[in-house]
Amino acid sequence: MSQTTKIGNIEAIFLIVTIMINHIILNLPKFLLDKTHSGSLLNIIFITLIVLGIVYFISKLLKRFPNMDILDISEFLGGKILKYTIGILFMIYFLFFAGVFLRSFCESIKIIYFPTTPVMFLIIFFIIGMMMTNRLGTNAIIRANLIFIPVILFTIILIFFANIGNFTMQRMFPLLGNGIMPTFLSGLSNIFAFGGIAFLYFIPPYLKDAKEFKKIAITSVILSGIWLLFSIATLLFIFPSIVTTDEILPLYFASRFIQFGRFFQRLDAAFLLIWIISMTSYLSITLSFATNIFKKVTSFKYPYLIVYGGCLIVFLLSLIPKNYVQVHFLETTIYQYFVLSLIFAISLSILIFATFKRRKQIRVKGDGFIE
Amino acid sequence: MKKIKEILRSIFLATPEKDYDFLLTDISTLAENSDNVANDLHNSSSNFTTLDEVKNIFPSIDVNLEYIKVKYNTLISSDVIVREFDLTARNRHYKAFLLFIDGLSDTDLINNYVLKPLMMKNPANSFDGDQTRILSEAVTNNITVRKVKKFDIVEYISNCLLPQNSLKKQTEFSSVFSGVNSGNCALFIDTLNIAFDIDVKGFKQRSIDSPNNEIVIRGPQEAFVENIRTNTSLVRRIVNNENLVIENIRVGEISKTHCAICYLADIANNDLVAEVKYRINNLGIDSLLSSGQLEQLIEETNKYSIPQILSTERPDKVTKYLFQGRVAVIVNGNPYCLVMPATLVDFVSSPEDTNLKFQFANFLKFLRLIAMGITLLLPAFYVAMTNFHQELIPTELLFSMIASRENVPFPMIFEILVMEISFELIREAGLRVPSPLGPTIGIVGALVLGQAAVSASIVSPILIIVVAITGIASFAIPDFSFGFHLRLLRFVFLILSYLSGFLGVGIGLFVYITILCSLKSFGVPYMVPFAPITNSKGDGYFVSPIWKRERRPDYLNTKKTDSQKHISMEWKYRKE
Repeated sequence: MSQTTKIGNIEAIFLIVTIMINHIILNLPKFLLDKTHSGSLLNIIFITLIVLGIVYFISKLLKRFPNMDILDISEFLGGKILKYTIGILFMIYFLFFAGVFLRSFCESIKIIYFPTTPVMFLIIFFIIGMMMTNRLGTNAIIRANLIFIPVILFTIILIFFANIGNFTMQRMFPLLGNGIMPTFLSGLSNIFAFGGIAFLYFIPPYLKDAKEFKKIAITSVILSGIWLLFSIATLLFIFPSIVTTDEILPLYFASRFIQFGRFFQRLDAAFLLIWIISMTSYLSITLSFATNIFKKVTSFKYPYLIVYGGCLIVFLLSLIPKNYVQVHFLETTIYQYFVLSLIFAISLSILIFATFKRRKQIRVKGDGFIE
Repeated sequence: MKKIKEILRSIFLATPEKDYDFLLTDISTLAENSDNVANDLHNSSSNFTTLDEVKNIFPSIDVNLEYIKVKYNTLISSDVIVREFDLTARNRHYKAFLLFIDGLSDTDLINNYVLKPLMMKNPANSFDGDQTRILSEAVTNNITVRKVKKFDIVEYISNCLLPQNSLKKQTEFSSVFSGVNSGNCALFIDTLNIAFDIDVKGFKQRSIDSPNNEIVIRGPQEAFVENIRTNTSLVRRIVNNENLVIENIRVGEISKTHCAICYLADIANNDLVAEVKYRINNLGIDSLLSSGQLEQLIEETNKYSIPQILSTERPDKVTKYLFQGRVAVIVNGNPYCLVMPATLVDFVSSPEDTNLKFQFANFLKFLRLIAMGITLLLPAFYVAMTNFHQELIPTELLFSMIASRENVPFPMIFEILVMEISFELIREAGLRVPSPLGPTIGIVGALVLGQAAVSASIVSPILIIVVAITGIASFAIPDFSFGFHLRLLRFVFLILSYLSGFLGVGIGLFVYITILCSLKSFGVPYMVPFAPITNSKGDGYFVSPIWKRERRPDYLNTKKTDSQKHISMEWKYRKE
């Protein structure tokens, strides 16, 4: 994203929600259900509140660093070395998990629609899409995302309401699932589901109105929480939590139950069309942010080369897992630890320490010791 | 004997006829081959250079005459008229000549209001009074001080001898030629280093007619014509406000085509006007023949087939946009006016929307939205659903579709491409053939070809329905360029869907929308007011009731933001 690009509030909110929605489309709801069973509903409400608190805290901390992203703040705190380290970690986060999620999604659609097609062929389609959109710039991608996100959000709501007839409401009991401790204490690690807030660390310089950051952060978390709750509720009420669904795209399987009269009995392909758009949007956004970080860290002058390089990396990374089991492990377990450590531990710590440093500087300046 | 000889000669000694083989000689090759020729060329070109360098009019009429004869090739050009005569002014005679182009100028005007007053003796030109006129006189210390106005022949001719409403004094040849080329006549007089540019335009032109391509049921039935002045007058008549500025710019080194930039000075953003002028003023082209050419030359990017400037033949539509704060450009010789900036919504809006109640207009807009979707995606969806996602099709329908395709030997993509291309051919042929035959070709082509194709088992009946609906939907898009763009893009989606079903269509759709979002028209994002979201009170995709359309489009950053009062229907809500 060039420094001149400014994004509005709704664009920023939808940007963060996109990341969340794509995880919902993939295996996130199933992973959460497997972990907390019928206590998932309470767990989601709980972790949403916790993340709201964290996000509020982040917005308070970022207020002291107007128009600075996490890279600038890292540089302020620990010089170029910390900036490079954080930059590389976030690039890995964006590119590696873009590759993993791409592979996961392609494996799923291969199973559903293209059983005889090599998965590489499907991946290449997305890579070409990413390449073309990234050549057009971050601003265009964010705006395109703004157009599609309402439709994507609507599909999840539609799956919930269209499936009401198939719901067994008793499945929400016991409300606490496996007990208070698994739901609220070990279930606390489910805050990784809000990995999309990683973008919050990067958007302040690009906001039209920096004062709106808090509103953007809180709204995006609330929206993500609501949609996560809808998707979890859909799966919980349709499928027994112990039996669980198939391994691939649980929401897709929920969409297969939808029928309107005798004429529309299988609408799942229509949902998949919208989710393909959603996945392209997600991949384009992550690649765009990764390339922007690269540009900022290296001052590289050739933007198209970075885009091509980024696409190649995502393509190669998506081919690393040997099978779907490995993909599943990467997209759930490894992703969980990476998000928890990078977004909720390292980045937050950097913000806290940088705030201390800034306060100290201001205090010293106020006493007149340092010019 | 002689005859026999001739016959034998013609049989046995006949030489083959030389083939007529004309080739354009490359000037550089010619120069290489012949130094003399090259020198001649060089000399002649240097002569032209010196001719081109002449800027100001000479005081000697003979020199002016020679120069004009050379410049206009009067010995060859039959329509360039140089009329030499003796001009009478204050009973004195001056050598003079008129220069005009036959067919562009009104000869009656020239005879009655130029030549007659100048040549014929009349009280105006035969009065031989003092050559100087004393305006005032004062005597101080026996010294007489007189304020004298000397006789000025230029002023005299201009004020007393030429009864013309539009008369310019030109000092440069280029200005004179520009006037003459557009139908004026130039008057050169001996000893004067100026020429009179007299407006005597009088060429034949098409009268104002009803629009051919943007037809409305309720609304004005006037369309632009080829003449720029007629077009500007149409606009001015509807705007009816002194703030309407119509600036003239000439485009093209050779053609010097007149372009009129129209805007409302108290509404349009100054930067927008300046940008339009900047782009048009900085075009290094020889000729400008149409507004379509200008459109391509001044739009932000030519990479995509997406139109970024509106083109319309309706003065009322142009006026509507002028009132919004946009800029219009009229090109002489073209009945289409360009309006800029333009957004996606503008290309899907019809002039009819303004004339209808908002409920009707919104219903039509909704239909157009569906038409856009069908034009772009219906064939692609058909291929994707029949090849990859059959479960979307209800079982009974699927059975009938399979049954209808049973006898068709071709793959789906071949079948649909054949029909789509045939439909495009019928459409193109219908447009190009003489007008009485056009509709016949369309109907005969569509009906007979479709029926025959189905009977011959080349295509399935359901495909005919798909292609026909797509074709009909494409006609519902009001803007020709945008409709064309969608028709073209339909083939891309068709191929994507054949390759990978909804996967290809989905990715293609996202890339397409991203391209639309990346576009700008004169600094205005193409997808406003949706991406980025702007304040579109009363002017989004769907129109609100007329009393609610209080503001001008936010993205135009106009000088006046409100287009009507908060309570426009004052008669209803006036407090007594």
